[in-house]
Amino acid sequence: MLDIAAPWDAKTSDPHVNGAIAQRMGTTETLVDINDEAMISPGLATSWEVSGDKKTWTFHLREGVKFHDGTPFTAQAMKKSLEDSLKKSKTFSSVPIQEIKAVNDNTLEIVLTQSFPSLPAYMAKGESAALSESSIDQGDISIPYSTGPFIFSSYSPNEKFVAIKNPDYWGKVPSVDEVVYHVVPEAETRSLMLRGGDVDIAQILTPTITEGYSSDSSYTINTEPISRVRLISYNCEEGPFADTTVRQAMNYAINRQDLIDYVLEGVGEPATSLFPPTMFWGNKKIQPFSYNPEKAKTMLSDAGWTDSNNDGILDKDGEKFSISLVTYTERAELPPMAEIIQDQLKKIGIDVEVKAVDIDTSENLKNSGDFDMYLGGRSLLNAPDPDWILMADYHSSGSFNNGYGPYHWKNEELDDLLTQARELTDSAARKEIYDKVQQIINDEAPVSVLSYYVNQDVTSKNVKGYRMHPTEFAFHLEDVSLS
Amino acid sequence: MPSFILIRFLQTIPVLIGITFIVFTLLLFSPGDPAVINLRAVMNTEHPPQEAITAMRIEMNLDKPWYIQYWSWISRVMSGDMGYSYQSRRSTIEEIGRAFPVTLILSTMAMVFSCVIAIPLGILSGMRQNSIIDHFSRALSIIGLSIPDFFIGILGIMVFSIYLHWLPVAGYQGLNYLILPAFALSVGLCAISMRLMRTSMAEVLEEDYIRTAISKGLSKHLVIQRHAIKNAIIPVITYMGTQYGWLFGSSMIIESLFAIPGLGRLFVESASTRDIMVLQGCVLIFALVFVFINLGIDILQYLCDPQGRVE
Repeated sequence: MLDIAAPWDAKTSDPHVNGAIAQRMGTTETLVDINDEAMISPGLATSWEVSGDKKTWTFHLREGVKFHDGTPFTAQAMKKSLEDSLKKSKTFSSVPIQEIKAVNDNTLEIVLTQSFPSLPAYMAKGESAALSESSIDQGDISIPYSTGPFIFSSYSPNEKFVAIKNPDYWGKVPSVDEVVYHVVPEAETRSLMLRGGDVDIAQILTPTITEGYSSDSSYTINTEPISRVRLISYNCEEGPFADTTVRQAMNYAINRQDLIDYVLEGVGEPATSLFPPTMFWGNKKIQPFSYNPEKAKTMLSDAGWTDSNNDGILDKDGEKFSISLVTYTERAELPPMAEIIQDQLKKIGIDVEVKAVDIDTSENLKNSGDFDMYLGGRSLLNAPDPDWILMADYHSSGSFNNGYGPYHWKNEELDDLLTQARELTDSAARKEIYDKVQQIINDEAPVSVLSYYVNQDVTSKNVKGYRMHPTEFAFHLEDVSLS
Repeated sequence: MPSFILIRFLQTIPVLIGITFIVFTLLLFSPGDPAVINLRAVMNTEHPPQEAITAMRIEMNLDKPWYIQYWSWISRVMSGDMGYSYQSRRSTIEEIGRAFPVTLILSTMAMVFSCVIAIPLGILSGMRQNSIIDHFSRALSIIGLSIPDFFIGILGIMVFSIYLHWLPVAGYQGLNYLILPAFALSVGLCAISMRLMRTSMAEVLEEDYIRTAISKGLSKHLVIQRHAIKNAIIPVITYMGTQYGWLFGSSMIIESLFAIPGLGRLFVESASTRDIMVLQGCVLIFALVFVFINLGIDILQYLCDPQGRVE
């Protein structure tokens, strides 16, 4: 038996209402899978293609797959399952699905009202899980029969989620017989459960806690960058940061490694491109910005900012370089990071006022343009495709208000590239465009990427084969064995 | 007697309506769109799509004026429907029915621990003032008062679960899982009740009727057993009774630390996700617990103390 302690509750036994934990546990499966580079890959569908008008997606389903209740996995069953998902889950509310058709036993067609390139990525979301007819007929599903390597056994709210091995799984049959997922909100308690031998895997621990395991040979610390980045967004409409050179100077004025060393106990990587280079969509060719305050100063004086009255603060046309840095307290590391940035910018003559408020207030300030710099965390691959985030945050149609990127920034070349990418379905070709997009983001500096979030799980030595997933999409417990 | 119980029951109705109205108003003035906050938790993303937000606002009645929102909830409750959770889609009754007994057991266990530890130690130190046992219990209560309960919880886990392996670390799969959390929860109450018991005992021992009893030749042992303890314990019981509701309320930190699926955690989670119907359900239950405890204490006092029976 394998025991896991993790912070999040599944909330429901119905994967079509909330499917994240069922999917991570490997009880449910979806048409599309996500590989270790956060790239979509074949799941219950072995391949898929889109029609010429980009409105009809055809999925070719895997043959010989059976649901946990013994019924065969067919296009008809998947159609019924997806229709249940669309009815129950809000995940697909932005996906323009018109109709789902079962062409034959192994071919499923999804007809859209308009082109939507990230449809396959949405077919990887846990809420699109394939469930058998007898599950759907339960209404509020209490026993979901899907096709995964593990079979749902029981769920107790705020307590645990239990799954047993599926000996008839179509892929690699798990080695562990039973997995118990314990919901434990406090990181310290998860760590104590691991130390007490109550669990084998303690997930999402803090750097301060994992440090205590670093010299202990009976445990393994697993570290994985996830698809979430800390970044500074600039007010590109007014104030000093409307000037591109000033924004570019910030990339040299901020010491990214210091932020990691002093706030995160050295756990994490300075960010280079928007998407982490460990993932498929990251631009691996981008070189990190070096910390170079002298260069930043030169750039600022080229932009007209000098300390003409020798008061230690830069000025231009009689205006002082005094700015506000807005951040929120819900993510504990952000306010201390803001203070370090304040200190670093003071060294080159910029006066920063830090406003650390709650997330809703901070978003109101950002959406009304009442800020100069905005420090926040941004999740990149909620659906494992770059289109959504880039359109929302960086395309001029999206970046104005509710995007999380810059405020009122517009770059025609980037707009064109993103529109082009939407016309393509080939991943390599799209990747080429998105690489260029990430280069433009670094060059024009509408935002400064600071560091990637990492998750740290600690496992006891008897756990073999455990690996973490970059989009936290699966625990891959079918690969885990206990010695 | 029956009339004052009936009046008490009738008095609770405006209390319950008032408290839910206060909670509703507080939520109204707290920043952020409740629909967005709900969806953030449901969809595991900070930025739910606009289509989902619009649908959620309609489902939550947020498109209507505040008095209609509150009225539609009140009329729903009046017809016996407590609503459902926007997070789990289960009914409020089911959510609370699952969490309430756990917290009830936990706080009752903490109350039993407090009684078992505080009362004997308090009596002994009241009898033998400035003896070793008095100093010892004084030190204990100062320690108990000054260390926060979650820290006592962590210390307890380290000693009893990790070092001695006597008790499980966390979770809830049986009563033994509640021993450590109930102990941690009881420490604060225990410390105060112990001091109260000591003072009360010391005062009673100075009373004339005790001196009379001893001077008429009764053994000291018998005097303490028959007369002193009975009188000294009344204020302690009253105090501990009123603190029972407090135990209920302060269980949320301990439940979170020990991963116990109780009412405190349900309350915190429903508040942080603006799961308003479950939150109001929790508030109603907390209020009812307080009301019933106070009623119970009143009845007890009525039964114990004939002087209080004034119509």
